[in-house]
Amino acid sequence: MSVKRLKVPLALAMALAAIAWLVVRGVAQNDVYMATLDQWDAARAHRETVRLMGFVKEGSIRQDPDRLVTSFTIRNEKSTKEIQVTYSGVTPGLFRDGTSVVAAGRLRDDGVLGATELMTKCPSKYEGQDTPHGDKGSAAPPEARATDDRPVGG
Amino acid sequence: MLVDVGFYLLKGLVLLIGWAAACFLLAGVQNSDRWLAAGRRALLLSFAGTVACAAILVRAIFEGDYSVAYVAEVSEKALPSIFKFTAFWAGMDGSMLMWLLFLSGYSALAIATRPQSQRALVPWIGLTLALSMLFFAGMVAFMTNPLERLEVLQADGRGMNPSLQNYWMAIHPPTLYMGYVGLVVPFAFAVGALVTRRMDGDWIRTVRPWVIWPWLCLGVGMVFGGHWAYVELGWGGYWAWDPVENASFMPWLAATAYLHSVMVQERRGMFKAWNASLLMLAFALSIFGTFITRSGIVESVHSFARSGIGPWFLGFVIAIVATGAGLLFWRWPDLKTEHRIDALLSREFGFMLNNLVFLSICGVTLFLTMYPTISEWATGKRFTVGASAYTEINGTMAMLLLVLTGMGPVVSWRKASARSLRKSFLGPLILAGCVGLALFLAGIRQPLPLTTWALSAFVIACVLGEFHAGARVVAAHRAVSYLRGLSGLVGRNHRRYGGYVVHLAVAMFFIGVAGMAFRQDAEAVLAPGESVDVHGHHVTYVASSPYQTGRSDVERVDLRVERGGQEVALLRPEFKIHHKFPEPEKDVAVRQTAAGDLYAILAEPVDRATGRAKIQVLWNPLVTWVWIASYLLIAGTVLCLWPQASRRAEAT
Repeated sequence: MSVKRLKVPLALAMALAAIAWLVVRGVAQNDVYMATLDQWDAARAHRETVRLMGFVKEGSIRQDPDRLVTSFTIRNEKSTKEIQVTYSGVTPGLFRDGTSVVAAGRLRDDGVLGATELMTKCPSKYEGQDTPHGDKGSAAPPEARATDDRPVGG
Repeated sequence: MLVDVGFYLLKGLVLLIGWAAACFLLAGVQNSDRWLAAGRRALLLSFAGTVACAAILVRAIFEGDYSVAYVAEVSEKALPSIFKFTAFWAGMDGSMLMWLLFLSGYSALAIATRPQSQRALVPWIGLTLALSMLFFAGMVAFMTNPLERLEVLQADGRGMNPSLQNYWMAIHPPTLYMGYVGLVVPFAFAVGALVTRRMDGDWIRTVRPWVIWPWLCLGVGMVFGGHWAYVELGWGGYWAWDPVENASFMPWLAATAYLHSVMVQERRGMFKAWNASLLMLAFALSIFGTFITRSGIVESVHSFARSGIGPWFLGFVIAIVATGAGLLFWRWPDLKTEHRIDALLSREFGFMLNNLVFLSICGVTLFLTMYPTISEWATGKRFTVGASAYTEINGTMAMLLLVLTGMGPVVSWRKASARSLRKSFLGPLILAGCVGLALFLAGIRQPLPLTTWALSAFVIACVLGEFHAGARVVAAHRAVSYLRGLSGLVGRNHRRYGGYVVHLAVAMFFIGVAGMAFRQDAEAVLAPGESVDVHGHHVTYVASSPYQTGRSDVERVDLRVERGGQEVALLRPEFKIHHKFPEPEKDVAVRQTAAGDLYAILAEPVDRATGRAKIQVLWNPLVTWVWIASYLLIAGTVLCLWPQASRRAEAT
């Protein structure tokens, strides 16, 4: 094996090693614990930024009149647990009662999650969601909403 | 009535496509023209059948047949006509039918236009296409049949979500799907070539436009999606490394890697196994993307509801990967390279690095997208990474890619001499250095954007240098003007210079993307007459003017924008509350300039008692260049695909 034959594999190995280092470093510096309320780890949330998944508790959204700050409550699916959240910034488009949300932030000493990032599901998610018919609600009998719960392929 | 015909027609199509697959298999095994003709007929017929079903669905939407579950779900009487058309693919069932429609269309076209020289491949191409169609037809017919009727009659449909009623959203899904689906044809060609042991250059040339087209569609589809997110979602960005976006990005990366490395195979007979693998990977990733977005395996801002089709898609991905790996293993002896790489400073090694970077970005994106699932397997706890991880890792690798974008087209094959390198790159390097230094002195210190801009200058100088040198030679040779020389140069080799235009677009794209590192943001609760300042813009809240459309209550605020005491624009962001949909919609107002966009959002309804409004104003530098770059990319690709009038395009 001459040095010449080894040149290309060696250069590729070096490039791959550099990329591997980049990935390990990038992930180590940016990974965030993600949990639902049922897996909630309060001690960790005090230490570092975590992502909390859950649903916006109905009727809990409050807007601060003087600042762009929204406070609300995230509940788990069965509404057995909840946690207070404040978020500063413009709320995402589909933010409302009952939406499934992900809030990222740290737990403050008063037990409120100070979210710096808030995500909601996009409208294509609409399918399979039980959406009330708003003003025209009476026009659609409950059975007509069968589309909502129709098992795919049923 | 027609709807019921269509409902059963879809199920019938499954049989017909199954028959087509059987015919192609027999044609391949027995080398029989009769079976081949039968398979072809069945395939063309099933395309016609799919068109009929799609037409029936469109008709049901336009006629307002709300007894059809899908129509009731995505459309309503009051929906404007243009969006009635887009309702075809606005929901999952319809989009699956559109997928089948494109798939059968591509298949029919590929089989109908098969080149005579590749007669031996056709049965296997047909078989692969028919089996893919069989999978999708089965899904559409039995899992997501869009022509299924409701048991209870409804007078009107639920209607389309207002945020989907946007013209970017009207063209984004079909464009993207055309890309995803189109990757099936190259995959089928690769299977055919491997089965019949015809790994020579011929099929590679035939398959070329079949790769470029879906590659273009995927790229443009992503840009359309970004444009939609930018104007409709009201968060001020166009790309968030969401799993759904990544799902379209990954097959695009694999296809891009292929488009480059295949040149080495054409020119020097190397990388044969690698190129076939890339085509298989691209198709597998396009199906895997569908799996990610429809199975709910990772949390996405906009994933479809968890649905029963996820496992089927995963099974299909596994089948594709297994087929590809099995064929490669089986034909390994035929895939021997004809040459070796002679030197590190050569076009060949450049392409190798290029592929390494593209696939690394692809792999990293896949890894980070699946990171929650992977970390859960490994540690029992779910971790996720934010957009910052993607930007850091992929952004750094993209810098190497930028270097290659500039150098690649210039470095010669086999072994480049130091002298020619100096001659080609000294000017661009000096320019990049000057740009970098100037930006540094201007106060730009973030390493990633600074490098990006300096390297983009390098790329543009390298590529324009190629155009310039070539044009001068042609002009001198033919004794014509410089401009005529330039057009003669481009006309002589569409493929090469189309590719260079794409490289220019890439540099321009990176210039625009890096601008976002300098975005500025001001949020304020303003009373009428009060103002807020963003990046030299004095934005005053003048008044609010609510109005009603009959379908929604709209809050609108007038924001006067002044620069240096001069009024330059009036921005009118809106906040809409739709009667029929629970989610409010924030219609942003954007003032586009070459330097950047002033982007205004009305965050909440105006406070009736005090008249105060919550307003966010963003300064998004250089966004326009991202859109312009995408049009330049389309132009370059069209030039690549444009038939060469006189001579066959020489390999680059």
